[in-house]
Amino acid sequence: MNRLVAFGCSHTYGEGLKDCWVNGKAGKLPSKYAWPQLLADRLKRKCFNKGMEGASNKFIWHKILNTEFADKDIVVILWTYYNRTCILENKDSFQRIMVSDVDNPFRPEQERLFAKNYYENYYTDYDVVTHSIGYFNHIKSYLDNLKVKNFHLINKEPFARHPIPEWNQVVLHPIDLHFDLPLAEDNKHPGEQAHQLVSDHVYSIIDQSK
Amino acid sequence: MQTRLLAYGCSNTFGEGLDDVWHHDPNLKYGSNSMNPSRYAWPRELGKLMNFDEVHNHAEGGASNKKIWLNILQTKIDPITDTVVVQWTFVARWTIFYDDGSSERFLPNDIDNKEGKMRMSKGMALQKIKDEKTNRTEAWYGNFHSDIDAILDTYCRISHIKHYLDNKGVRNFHFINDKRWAWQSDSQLIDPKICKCLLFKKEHGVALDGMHPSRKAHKKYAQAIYEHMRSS
Repeated sequence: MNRLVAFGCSHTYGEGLKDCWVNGKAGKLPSKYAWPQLLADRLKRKCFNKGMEGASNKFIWHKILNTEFADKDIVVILWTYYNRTCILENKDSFQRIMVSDVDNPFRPEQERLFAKNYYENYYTDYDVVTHSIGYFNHIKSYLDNLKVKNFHLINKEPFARHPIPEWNQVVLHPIDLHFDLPLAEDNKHPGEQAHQLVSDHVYSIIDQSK
Repeated sequence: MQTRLLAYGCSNTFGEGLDDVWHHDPNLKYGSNSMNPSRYAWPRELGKLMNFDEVHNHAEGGASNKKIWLNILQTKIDPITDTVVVQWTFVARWTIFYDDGSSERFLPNDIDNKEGKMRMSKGMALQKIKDEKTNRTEAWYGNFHSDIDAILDTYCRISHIKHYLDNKGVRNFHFINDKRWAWQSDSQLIDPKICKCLLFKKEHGVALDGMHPSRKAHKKYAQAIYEHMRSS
């Protein structure tokens, strides 16, 4: 069976959905109610959901470079918020940097200070947007080179706030994550209905590309 | 139609320290470089060897690979007339881009060079590095830098530019002047044929600033690039 391989953050993983919310934490496996599984079912493909909660665009980029693809795979990437990043320490370890970690009492103090140092001293909007668009473009050329079909989605909210540079060569599809609809069980992430609408939207993008 | 060679890189492409750009003030410990690149630097030498009508040296002293990457993306390049040659720099360098279009550089040298506190950059080689900046650089490398991260970032920049220029139909060639590239890069990620590790040879001497490659070294470097381009 051909594969649908999806990459992204918690919005791809399905964090907070009813099968992916255990004792106040994301489940160990991605949700079968998240958009990648719904989309794979519709495309009659096997779903490989490589989403990860807290992922940055840099992490997603690195994850794609370390994934093996087959000729007939369809890769769909829901790129995440520009303002996240990470420091890659080796192939399997990294230190995440998320703006929400700065004041998150559930994160270790060292991580909070680390994130605070970054956002207060080294962060600029232009820098992170330029970085992210660079990752999108590199991954597109990388997957095109492997002759793997690839589609690039982006949360419409950060996308609308920042201009895209002229050198960008990736078709970026802004996606509405429907935070206006009932949320998931964690009361933070998109709910089941939202995931269904995202899946329908991505299906139409793939269908139109044929 | 005028053929153009567009060269990108750091001070080693700019030609810092060479006779026509180096100004030494005997009252001061160090000299400074002009704003325009040297006519003795490898791009002009390569231009002569390959009979280009024009040579545009877009190099910048102290540039990181991230800065070189953006400089290329922000240049209008014509696939009919232009050939791009990039001399990528040391992987450990970093740049932060600011919202107003300016940028801030981070170089390990800025920490190590405590004696001279000398900042080698286009037109401002004498600028004393303030302690505040040294501390900031030190904090950057202490907290947010890892070797693997830097290598992967450089891989991303080179690979993206290669595909970007190929897509536009622009002839492009890539060299890197950092010996770490040869032993740390992952051949699964980047084909070594895409970016050749080509170093200046110490036996060819240094420029007037005592740091950068000499005229002879630039000439030999241009010759090595030329031979590689011809063979590929």
